[in-house]
Amino acid sequence: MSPANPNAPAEGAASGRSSRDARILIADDEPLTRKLLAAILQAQHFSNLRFAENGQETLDLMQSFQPDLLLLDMQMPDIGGLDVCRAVRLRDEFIDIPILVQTATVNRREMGDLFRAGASDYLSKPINPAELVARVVVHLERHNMLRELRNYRERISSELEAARQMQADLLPTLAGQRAVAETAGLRIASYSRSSSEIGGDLWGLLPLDDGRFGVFLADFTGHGVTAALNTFRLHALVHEYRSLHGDPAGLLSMLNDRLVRLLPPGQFATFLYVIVDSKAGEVRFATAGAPPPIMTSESKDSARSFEASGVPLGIARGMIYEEHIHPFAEDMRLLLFSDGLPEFTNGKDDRIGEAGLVTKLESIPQAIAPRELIDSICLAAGINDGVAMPDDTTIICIDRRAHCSIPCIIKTGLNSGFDVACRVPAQEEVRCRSA
Amino acid sequence: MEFRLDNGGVQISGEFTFTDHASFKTMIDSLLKDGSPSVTMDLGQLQFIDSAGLGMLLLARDAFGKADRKLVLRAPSGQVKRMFGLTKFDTLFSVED
Repeated sequence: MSPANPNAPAEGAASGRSSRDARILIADDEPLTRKLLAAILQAQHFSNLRFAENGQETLDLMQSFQPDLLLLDMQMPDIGGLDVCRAVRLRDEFIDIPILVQTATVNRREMGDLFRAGASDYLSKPINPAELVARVVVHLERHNMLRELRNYRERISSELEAARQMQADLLPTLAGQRAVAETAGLRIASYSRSSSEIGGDLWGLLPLDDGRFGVFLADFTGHGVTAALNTFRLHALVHEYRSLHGDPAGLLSMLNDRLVRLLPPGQFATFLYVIVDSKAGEVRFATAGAPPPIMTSESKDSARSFEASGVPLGIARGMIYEEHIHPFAEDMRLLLFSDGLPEFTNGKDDRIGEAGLVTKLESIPQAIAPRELIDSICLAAGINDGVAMPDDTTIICIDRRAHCSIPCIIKTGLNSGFDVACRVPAQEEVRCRSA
Repeated sequence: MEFRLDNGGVQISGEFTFTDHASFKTMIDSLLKDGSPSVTMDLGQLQFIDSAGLGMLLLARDAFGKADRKLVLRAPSGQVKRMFGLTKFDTLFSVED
């Protein structure tokens, strides 16, 4: 931007629209001054000019002409320049329009009044043509750039919103989760939150035959747009290899070889794939560096992590993954989560960590529903609705106790040692609903 | 994350997360300028690493490989050792106890 040379063409480069096309309103009660200002501007090829002879006409033309810049005289017969300034600034659409005031005063106090009333700049009378053009050009360019920046931000934020919606659409719907859960005779609850509009976590349900289904949870390094775009790639890949949905280790090897070719060095995805087979009472799973899922057992009154390891997807070609089998009896539930949960930190308190999650799960009453289990875990990790998320976080709870066989009543209250208690009135009885 | 360079190696301490990208890269660049064929990164004092930190270690490994040099990771412990185990990073790097 070079306002120093008023003879240079004043292209509003950022807007792609010439400053010379700008609408300029000249407000002055002196016919001779109006003519003079117009002549100077027209000589510089500003042709989109309108004129107001008094304050009221200025305000009317602001509305009908919608100028890009107002050249305003301080002394007009009906409404003074300061009042016109204030009235213009009151309107949202003119909050940042350049208002150049022509004034004969050099009194510092009056100058202060002028800026307080909303003037952007001033021109001393008698008007110097080069100064007039230079100031008009610099303010128009600045205004154009601001407008451009605002439009850009609005566009980006609406595109991010559309992307956020598209990403949300990749995840299983509540109805989809319910359908899979009913077929398999169990309960499913989930939680997912990104650190910004869009994120690098993805999970999904893959219905198989005979009430069996697969559940996967992926987490790409980093977060934001790059990580989010990778979740779309992975979603497509997972669905491309339908024939491997019954083979956890095979699916991981195939996804790995595809992602090695797609991801730049230093980027990878942790991935966990679990096949839940209620009839056989077991889960089969393979992991590519994902946080180990935690299994709880009501009869044993215990919680423990599945110890399994694997190189994350996308790092090295030809990786072989192991399949693990674990009993998944009727009294068990399974908690899957991305590292955003154990690693959550508000910058002050310690992270809950994997060990902390296991301990927490051991202390949570077995009868609690999957949704409440997730709430309770979040609370224990320090995650609540208002808190800023440093990383994308996904939690899935699969509970085989579809129908509570034993009628279970949880006494909640101060002595229950049950965190969810703070969410219900003390001493209220919460009956475990059967599904 | 803090690091201390000492005779051909580096000691990393604190927490190694996505916020350390720039300083880690600078440190790797300065280690690459040094001529020794093998560089040891001592992780004994490192308390925490996240997946972004693991990604940066992979980038460092590649940079050393390209320069025909060897990067050795030493003494990961606690959560760092656990992450190395879960992700089998100990098979991707030379790791010493």
